[in-house]
Amino acid sequence: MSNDRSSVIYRFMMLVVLSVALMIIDHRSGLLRTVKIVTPVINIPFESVVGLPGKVQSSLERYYPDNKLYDRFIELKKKQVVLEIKLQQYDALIKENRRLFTLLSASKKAGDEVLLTEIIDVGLEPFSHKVVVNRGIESGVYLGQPAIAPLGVLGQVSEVGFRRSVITLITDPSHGLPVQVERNGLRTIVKGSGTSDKIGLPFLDRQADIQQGDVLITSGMGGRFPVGYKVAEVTEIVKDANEAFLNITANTSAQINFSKEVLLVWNDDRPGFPSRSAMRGRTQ
Amino acid sequence: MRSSGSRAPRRSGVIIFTIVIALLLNLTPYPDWMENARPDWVTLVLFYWCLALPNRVGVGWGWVVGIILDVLYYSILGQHAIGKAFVALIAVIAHRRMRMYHLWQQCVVVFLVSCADIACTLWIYRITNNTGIELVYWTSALTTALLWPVIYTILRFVRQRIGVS
Repeated sequence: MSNDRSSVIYRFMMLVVLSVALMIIDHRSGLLRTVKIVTPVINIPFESVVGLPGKVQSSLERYYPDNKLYDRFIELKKKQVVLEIKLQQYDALIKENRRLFTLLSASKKAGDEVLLTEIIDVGLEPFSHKVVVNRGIESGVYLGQPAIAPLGVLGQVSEVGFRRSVITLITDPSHGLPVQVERNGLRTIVKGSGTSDKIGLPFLDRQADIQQGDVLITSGMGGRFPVGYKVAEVTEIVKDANEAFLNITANTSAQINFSKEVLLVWNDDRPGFPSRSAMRGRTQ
Repeated sequence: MRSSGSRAPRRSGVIIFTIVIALLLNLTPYPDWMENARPDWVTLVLFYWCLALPNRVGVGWGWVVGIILDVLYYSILGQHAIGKAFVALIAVIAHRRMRMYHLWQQCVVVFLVSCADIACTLWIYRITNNTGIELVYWTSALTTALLWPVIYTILRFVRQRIGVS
């Protein structure tokens, strides 16, 4: 019995060592990257089974529409009209912008190339602020690509696999994002707070011109995110006399828990990354 | 994991099938208020089979299941493997003692083992990803422990019905 037990413990220790080695290789080097591109093949059947109830529900809703759905339809229709009107203005702005940039002979381009992806309905662990989307390396998705939900910035691609990529949300504590205040152009960095829908601004000192209700947009600093996407709205500013920095919390604009569609954006400002059309020979 | 020669029907298929079901349940999305209390079905099923068949299902199974879980959760390879191997280790070492326990006493053991599993996973996640270890994450150990009697009853029924040995 004791012999048996010690052999089990011995085997356990060996497995621990093996796991640690695996984790170090995975985390510190890119050796397992190719493996990780292939592993989502296993995920796809699991995720389709897990997502089945949701699919059934949504198709039932399609066949048995209730009043709520009709109200939503009307609401969306109204919204679409507003958006279309705004879009005209936006189109005009893009044209003007392009003209101005050609005048300046700059390579910068307004209006980014995008890919519409869908969030996979799968329950990851609560402490990992990540979502999975249904496009991967074969659609040209790259590591660090910005992901944007209809109402604001969602996060960035942190892992690319076969037909799947993982997006680390801006609420993840390891995620930092350069932003500016829309009102006055004050630049800073937001950091994920670890709680859903909330981010923090830890780097503003007490003299900073910021107030409740200020809208934060991406500043384009660092070159990873394109300029001008909405990020969050400042909800709380705590001024502590003992602290040199303000304690600011902001609510993310993207309704992260309710988003279904995500836009992946090809940011041409990013140095060293060919645009999607150059890479894949197609434009969108 | 150990091959015990020429036993008649071994039926590993049943074990694998229940583990696959548990993996699916682990991946199922829950409503927001339950997010932190999602029970770990894989731990429960693994724990059961290690108790029932300690000579066949052991740390190796736990480790492999953990690696599969890592792939399914898109986490770094090995993050869940240590925790699940530990679950299997405790079950295999203590299987004789566990059989003497009442179901509610077993629940307590499942709770503690589940806590250790979560601690392990969270600790690794914290090292690699920089996150806070908050108390709410341990509520899932509680729900896992509360589900133990259910899983125990179901799996015992399955095992006796199909005769996995």
